[in-house]
Amino acid sequence: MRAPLPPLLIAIALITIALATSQPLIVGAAFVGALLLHHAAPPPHRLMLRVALVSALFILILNPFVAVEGDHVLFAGPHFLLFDFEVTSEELLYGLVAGLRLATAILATSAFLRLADPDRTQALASRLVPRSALTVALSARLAPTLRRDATGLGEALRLRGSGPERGRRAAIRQGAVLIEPLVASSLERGVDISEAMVARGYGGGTMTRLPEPAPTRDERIGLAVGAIGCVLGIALIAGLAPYVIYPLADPLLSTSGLALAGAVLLLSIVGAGALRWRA
Amino acid sequence: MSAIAIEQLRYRYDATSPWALAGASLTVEPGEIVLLQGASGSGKSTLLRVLAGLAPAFHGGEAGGTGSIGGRDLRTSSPAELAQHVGFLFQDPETQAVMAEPVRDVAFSLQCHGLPADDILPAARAALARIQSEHLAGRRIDQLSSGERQRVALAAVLAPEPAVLLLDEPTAQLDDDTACELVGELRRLADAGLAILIAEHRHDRVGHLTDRVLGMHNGALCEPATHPALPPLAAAAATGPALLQLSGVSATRGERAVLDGATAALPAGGVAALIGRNGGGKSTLLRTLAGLEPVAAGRIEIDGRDVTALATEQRVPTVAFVPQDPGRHLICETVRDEVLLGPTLLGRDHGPAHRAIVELDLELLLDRNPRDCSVGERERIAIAAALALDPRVLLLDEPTRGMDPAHRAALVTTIRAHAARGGCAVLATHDLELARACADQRWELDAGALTARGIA
Repeated sequence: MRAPLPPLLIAIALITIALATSQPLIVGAAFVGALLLHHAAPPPHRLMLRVALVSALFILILNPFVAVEGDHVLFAGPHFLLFDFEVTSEELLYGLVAGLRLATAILATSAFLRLADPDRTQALASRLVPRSALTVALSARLAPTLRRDATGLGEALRLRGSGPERGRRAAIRQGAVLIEPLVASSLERGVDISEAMVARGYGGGTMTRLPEPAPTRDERIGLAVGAIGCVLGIALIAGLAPYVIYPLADPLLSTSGLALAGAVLLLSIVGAGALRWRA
Repeated sequence: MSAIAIEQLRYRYDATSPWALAGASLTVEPGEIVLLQGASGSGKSTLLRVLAGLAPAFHGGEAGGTGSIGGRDLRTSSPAELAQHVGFLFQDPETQAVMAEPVRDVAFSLQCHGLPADDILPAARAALARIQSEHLAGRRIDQLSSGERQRVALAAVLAPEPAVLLLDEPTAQLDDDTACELVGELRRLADAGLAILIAEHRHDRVGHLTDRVLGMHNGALCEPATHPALPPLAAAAATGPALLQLSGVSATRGERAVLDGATAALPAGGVAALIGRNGGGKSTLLRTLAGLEPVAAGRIEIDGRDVTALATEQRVPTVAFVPQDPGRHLICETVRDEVLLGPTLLGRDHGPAHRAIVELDLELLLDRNPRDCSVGERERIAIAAALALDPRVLLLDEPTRGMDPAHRAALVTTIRAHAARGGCAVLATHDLELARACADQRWELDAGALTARGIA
């Protein structure tokens, strides 16, 4: 497991870049970067990948029917209640960008949680909120707890004779049954851990910081990549390579767009390569 | 000055619920060990939480009366302030690990006490060594058995050397040797001036080293009730063809080999007590029998049928398994639904479920949310849910966790009744009295090797 700061910085950089611009090439590059980081993290990969792709697809499909903007009409349909059946290429492009942003955020966050050492993440979080045990417990432990509880609940169902359902619909129905107990149980665990932290004296204000091990060469590369990525994200927020989609989308292939997308891709390859998890 | 002094202490979790503590008064002097006994839900854990400052500060609710612990006023001190003087061990070892590695988890307590950074890791290792657990230092907590986790939790509580110790069922998950060593260590600490308040159902393990025993009933302290020891099993050992047969079963957990060619047979009507040290592979053996862990080699047969390759759900309802941490396996919103879930999913008769509800004294809990129940109550709910499937082979992992003596006796009757109906049961337990009361076979697991013999 890694020190938390390098994957955290890279994840923040990718999410910032994806949110800071509407240029589809740059957002696409950030998405590919998140995908690389996700695959650099320890397994399992498939569940979060599915969640990210399904969420992106949902937004891509939904946006043209809820947005009423854009000049290039691809299909002219009626307006019915909340839905507008007139589809423009700008609405599709915006839906694509918004979907990729969400997928980038999901994949980058998931990759960070699996790459970072939970103990050192907890130490980092406790430096940020030294008096809030619940916040620290939830931020550092929720994902592993959710994973463990999901396994336990799956086993509980199997022990009652209900095996993994065949077919997508049945599997979704079975999964839905477990969502409520899973959320309840994970929150309960989070509260239990924060209570245990308070009982040990957390939040008393005298906490000693254990010396962090010196960063490895790969972690230093990760830190540098994350820092450059964050600077790039801030530059995009400040107006580097502006791009508008509505009412008429700017040309997709611009020199600045291509250059920045290439830079994001390059940074992602280097960062994910440096932080790659090895069994 | 008394280490603990409370006067008419009252507490309830919200303004509409009954008082969980109803005017408790108690003093504990430095150097004294006081044992608290009482039925599940009588208020023992609540009293310890109030003394640690966690209730009402962490849980909310309403409190009254006066009290001090380690010289600090309970009404004006925060839990973190009290923690500088008070060590608190929770009932459930699954929920109190703060870090992922044992050394770091113990070190966390020392960090919170402001120990100099250079001293922390050596002190954490020394605390683990104090309860013979230094070998756990490099492992990951989520891969430890419950007993091993309890050792780590104990080390984390003892490491900062508090003036007062509050321990909620400290030996429940420990094997006999470790429990004996722990109790001896507690006595040494008390002799050095520590005040210790222990809530524990296992009087046989800690009673001989305590200075006083107090009972608890409906949130008030009282004279302790006496419970006779469980009588040893009078019936002859079951004989006949094997209902459950293990032939050379090997299994691994992660990359560790934990079972090596286990061979044993249990006839209908038989009950086997699976005994072994913490982390010895008892849970892995039961999980393997239930189909939750793959068999690396060997064969498992039930009633002459090879089930080795069958998935868990295909072994149900013939096999029913109650894992060690049933709180992690609760699905439904009421106890009734939880117990009936299995037979409902399988379209089976609800008769065995209703019988289990009566046998395990769950009638008054049926409309409650199982998450609101105590550890012992959750254990009974999980066992009833397993019995509701009317299984032939019942597998129970540490079934007496958090269970008071009356319900422990009821559990013996329930297990024997299951055996008398033609079933068999395997119980992984450190409770040798329970083993003698209901098992006719003793399966000893040591370093992956299983030895089966009759109970003398």
